[in-house]
Amino acid sequence: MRSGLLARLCVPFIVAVVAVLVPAQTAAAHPFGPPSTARIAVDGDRVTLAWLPAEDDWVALGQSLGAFEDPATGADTTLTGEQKLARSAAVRDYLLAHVGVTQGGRPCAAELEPLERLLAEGARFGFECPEPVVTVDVRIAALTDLHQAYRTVLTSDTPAEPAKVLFTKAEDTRSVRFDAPEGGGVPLAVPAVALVAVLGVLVLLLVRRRAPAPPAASDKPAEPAATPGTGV
Amino acid sequence: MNDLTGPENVLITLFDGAGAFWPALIVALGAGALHAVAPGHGKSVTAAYLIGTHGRYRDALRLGVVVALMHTVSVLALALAWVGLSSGAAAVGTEAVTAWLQVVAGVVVIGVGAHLTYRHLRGRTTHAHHGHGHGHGHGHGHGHGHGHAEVHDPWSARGLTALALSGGLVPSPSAFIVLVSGLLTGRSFGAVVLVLAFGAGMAVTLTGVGVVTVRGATMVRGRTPRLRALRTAAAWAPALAGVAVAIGGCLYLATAVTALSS
Repeated sequence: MRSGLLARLCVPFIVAVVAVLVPAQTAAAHPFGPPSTARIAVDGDRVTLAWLPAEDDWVALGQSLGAFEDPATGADTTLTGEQKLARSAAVRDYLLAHVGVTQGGRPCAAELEPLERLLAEGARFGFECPEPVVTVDVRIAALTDLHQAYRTVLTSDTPAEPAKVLFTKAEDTRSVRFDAPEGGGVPLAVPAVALVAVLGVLVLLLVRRRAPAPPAASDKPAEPAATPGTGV
Repeated sequence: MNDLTGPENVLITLFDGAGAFWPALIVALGAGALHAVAPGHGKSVTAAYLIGTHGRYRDALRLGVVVALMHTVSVLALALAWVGLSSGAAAVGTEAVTAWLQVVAGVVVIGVGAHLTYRHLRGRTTHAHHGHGHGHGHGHGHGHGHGHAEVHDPWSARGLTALALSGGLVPSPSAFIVLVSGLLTGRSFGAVVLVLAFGAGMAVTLTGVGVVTVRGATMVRGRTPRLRALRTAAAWAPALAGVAVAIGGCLYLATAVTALSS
């Protein structure tokens, strides 16, 4: 008996302790959650591309490349993380090695602008292609070597086909055409229909739940049953 | 990265690899079930609530289904917004939206917990002359309660619904990533099916936790303690459960505020 009572007393405490000790999962924790984004624009034979990962992605990249420690002086507290990333040669080399544009199999000459304001503006690349750009192959493989769930969505400021391109570890190079007519967006009919359908089922379930319950079958018909009107 | 993300990694790898669909579907179910084991989704607070309100098996099932449906709605809505909006605005917006959803969930949970405690305290004051009004272990079946007022308490039903909705409000990052990837690679239908399967997996786990909670609470409740002091203490269990629910809500809120302020 007492053990049962103790259990009864303990359950809320255990629940509270578990709740306190185990913090809620961060819903947007990378590499899961929203992909990194990138923007591309074309002008003649020049392609500009800005790659914009989230702040925690920059931290992950900087740590993997040792950008936050200075081998000569050890830990430096005078610079911000952003400044340490900006001055790191390893970060620049990594970015140039993992983001690229080719035209007909020939690489477009890449330059990486100084990594100032990288949290706000990202890593800004310029590519000089051999000929005026119509179709190019874009490669964005940054971060996917750290974790396969990292991915980047490229959006074009110049009308392009496809309008949005996804880069993953499995597919890090995609062809983009810039002579396409504008308007080919991402088809969203299927998820929109699914959203309405699931929402409908949820609402139905909740409405049915609120509706008055049918009178319960009583195993003692003569008994004045539970008072009606208090149903859920 | 904890071990629970293993199946979610496999799910993403299978989906990216664009191989056979069935393995991905099975992994999605398993990943959903395991995802619901991870912190969040109101398992602790709902368990406390089921104890505090003397919940039934039916409540546990409904709870699992509502959390899973709400989660699916949340993932679909957020992924649609993310892909539909211009990428720059969406990238900034999604994390803030997620954090704000968590704020809403936290506030709802705190409210439910506070109300549960308040209701119990008020009930004790009102019905003081009944002694403690619980422990009605009549032993003829469980869950039907022969029309006992507590079972049909409408606030109990609403509280459980509120907890379930708040538990599903914050989308799973891996389900979100699968859906966004599917939309952007012309595999919307498959991705939507995987997200639904993920939700079904979550429902199985959450219902299971609820059933175990109800079973345990029913078993314990059937025993009447002899010592008066212990009886009195036991009668406070629902109020303590309410406090536990509110503490859980505070933690949601604290996590969300940390995310918003960083």
